[in-house]
Amino acid sequence: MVLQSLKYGNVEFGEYVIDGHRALFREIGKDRILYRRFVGEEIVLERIVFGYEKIMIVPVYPALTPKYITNYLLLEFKTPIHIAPGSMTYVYVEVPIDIAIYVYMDKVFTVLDVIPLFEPKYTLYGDPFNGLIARYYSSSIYYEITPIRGKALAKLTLRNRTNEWVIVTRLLVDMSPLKIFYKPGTSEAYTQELLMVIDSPSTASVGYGDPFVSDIEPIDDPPELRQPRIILKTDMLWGI
Amino acid sequence: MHLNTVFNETTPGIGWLYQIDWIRVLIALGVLFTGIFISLLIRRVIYRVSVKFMPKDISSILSKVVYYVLVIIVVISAFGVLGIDLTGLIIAGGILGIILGFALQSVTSNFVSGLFLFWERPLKIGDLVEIDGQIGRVVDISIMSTKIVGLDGVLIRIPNEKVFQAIINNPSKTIARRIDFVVGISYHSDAEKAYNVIREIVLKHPFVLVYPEPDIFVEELGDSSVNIRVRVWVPTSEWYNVRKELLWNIKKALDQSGIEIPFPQRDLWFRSPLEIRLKK
Repeated sequence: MVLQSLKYGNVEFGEYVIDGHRALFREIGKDRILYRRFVGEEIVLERIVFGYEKIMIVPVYPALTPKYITNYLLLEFKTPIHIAPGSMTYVYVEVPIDIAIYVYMDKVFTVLDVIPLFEPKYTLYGDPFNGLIARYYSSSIYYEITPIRGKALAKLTLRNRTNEWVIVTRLLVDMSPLKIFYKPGTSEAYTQELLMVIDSPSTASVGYGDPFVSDIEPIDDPPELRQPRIILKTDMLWGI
Repeated sequence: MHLNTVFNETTPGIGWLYQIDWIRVLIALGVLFTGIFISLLIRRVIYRVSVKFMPKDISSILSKVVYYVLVIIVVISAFGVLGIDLTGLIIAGGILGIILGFALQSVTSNFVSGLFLFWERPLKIGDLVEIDGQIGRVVDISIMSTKIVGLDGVLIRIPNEKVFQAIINNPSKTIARRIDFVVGISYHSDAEKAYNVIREIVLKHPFVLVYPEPDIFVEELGDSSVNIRVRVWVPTSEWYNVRKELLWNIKKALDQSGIEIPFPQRDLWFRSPLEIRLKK
């Protein structure tokens, strides 16, 4: 069987290599599929699907593995950014993703499997009483659109509304209003544009804008992370 | 002809009606209905305000209690307008109240404690708590008692008076919690290697938080072992599992690295030489 590399979109029967995992889709009868995920030669997950319209491999929020415990994602920048008083700039930042296998029937889908692409870590943002738990990721900064395999790219616009220099070392994102997009047939993933308005040297608010790349498709959000009807900004009150 | 005379002459037997001060009666009725109307309004306001931070049944009881107290005051006021003195009734009611107060002391105490618990909210359903030495998950908070299911699955009912007075340990109120334990290694083992093995296990665990940073240090050069203190923060919901996994993984990793976890040892010194007898 030919091994195929990771590409987002519709899945044909066969075997795919996804990071250190192998995902196998085999037809075992009419409208029946056997799905297996291997790490090395060991089967780590096996599912049988009865009745389906299409199967898709899509990038998904890094919130579902090893266990869903938070909506928040804290990106700590490997390179801190100094921003002059009253100025505005933009950069591109890595957003971690996992890979999900969706099975559809009449536009209704279920998440068959979520394949983690990196070692998960969590952090406390704020204090134990008033703060929040967030998924942690140490993110690189880019100055132009650079698709990264196994990651999503976010455009981050930074606006310093204070009268002093500020240093930005991290970004807190709520994954519910965050939207993940993919370019079908490629391994490119993106989020929408994020706007970080800095109100003081230690506080900011993060807004969620529109996509900044064309020819991309949004993923269907898993039930835990459906977009709220009213999208509010995310306040960063315990340091930026 | 005077109206009194007319009444007495034409309708004998209802003359007493004329003696009634109808204006006072009207004022008393006015006081009664206005008072009841205002009491109803107050009852509604109390219910609507309290239902925002109390369960519905408690809000309903509270608003009813206030309503009936107000109605009693209104009725007494209305009788007062009519010139009927209810002092005796009030005194009797007061004495009855004192008697009932003594008889229902614990009931009242539990009720009032329940109200304060709803106000203060030191715990909510689903919290894992320790109350008065009892550890369990809260399954019900009623006006008289709080019910928790112990870790062994047994239902424990604690009167609200006790809950109110007890020291409540509620880790569920915070989102992160610290795990704190000591790993003792033998003096023969390589302490630096042991430190690195422990650190690697700790940092590898997904639920050990990046911030606050894990704190691992030699705390004490003990009698039998070098004691390494491990302090890590984890999401409160994962505390129990992470603690189990960390201890087990550290034990396995230390064994694999050939690092000994000693048992308590003591060197005994005898002041005088020991005489040893051998049996043949």
